[in-house]
Amino acid sequence: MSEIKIESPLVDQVEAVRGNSAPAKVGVRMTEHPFLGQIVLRGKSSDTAFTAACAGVLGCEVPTTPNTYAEGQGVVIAWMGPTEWLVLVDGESTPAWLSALRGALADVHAGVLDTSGGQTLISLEGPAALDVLAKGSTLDLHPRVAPTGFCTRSLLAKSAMFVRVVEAGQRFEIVVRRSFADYLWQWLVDAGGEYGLAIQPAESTLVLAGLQASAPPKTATGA
Amino acid sequence: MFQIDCPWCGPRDQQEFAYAGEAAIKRPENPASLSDAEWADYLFMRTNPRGRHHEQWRHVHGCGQFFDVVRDTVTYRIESVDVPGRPALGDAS
Repeated sequence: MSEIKIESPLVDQVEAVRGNSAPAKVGVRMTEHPFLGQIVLRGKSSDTAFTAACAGVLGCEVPTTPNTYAEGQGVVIAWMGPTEWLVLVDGESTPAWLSALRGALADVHAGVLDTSGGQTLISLEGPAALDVLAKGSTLDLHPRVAPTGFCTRSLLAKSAMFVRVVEAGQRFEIVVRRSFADYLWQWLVDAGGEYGLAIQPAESTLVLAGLQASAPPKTATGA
Repeated sequence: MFQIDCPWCGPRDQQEFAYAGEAAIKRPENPASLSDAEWADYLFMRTNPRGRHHEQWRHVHGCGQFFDVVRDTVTYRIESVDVPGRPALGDAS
């Protein structure tokens, strides 16, 4: 059997793979984080068998406060909806996480879906990151509304996105569908250009904000 | 354009939402006993008020949930937002 090669959806964007020559004044740094494990977890947070099984595998409770994420050991668990979570892990450990979750949830009404190949993650960092995102989204990501620990799905430049605030007002991660990734990357390059955009070579690493998993931050909108 | 206060996510721009028809449509308890006209009325006929309208929206580019909204169709002012299952307007509550 021939080996199947994995390719990032941004493989045609040379700068996304290799980086660019950074401008003199850098307002925003952009990096793709391809090949992460992206697992969609479905279940009822009111079902204690579900939450206990998840906590056992993930090492922390699934966040039940809307628009927040929790972090365990090498794993980010983000609230996507009342019955839906996005679990981000390192790519190489994905099969192990999947089988651990499926094993623990075998007798529970729940779903574990591997969406790693269907989407990619782009991180934006720097004093102008907020301004770049504000150009394409009606979502208010100012630290007073979206503190570290905030996450949500929304729209960016007409494309559906999932955004996670890793550091309030400074560092954001965007998960975008594979088919929109090339378009959104080009849009971000264009939108970031005026602030001084440094593109760093693609890095397949998971970034943790160092949050306490047990105490998700309160969002402005509350529970 | 207006903002809708999602019961889960808080106020978001209208473009994140999709309209999902009139709310509080009750399925008849015994469909077999209905006449064709009554069944068609349940399936197809909707109110089209000038003023307060009880309707469903879905936060399609957010948490994905359906919920109920009471909105004025003239002024677009949203009177209330609620999780699904609220009694129909005019019903004794």
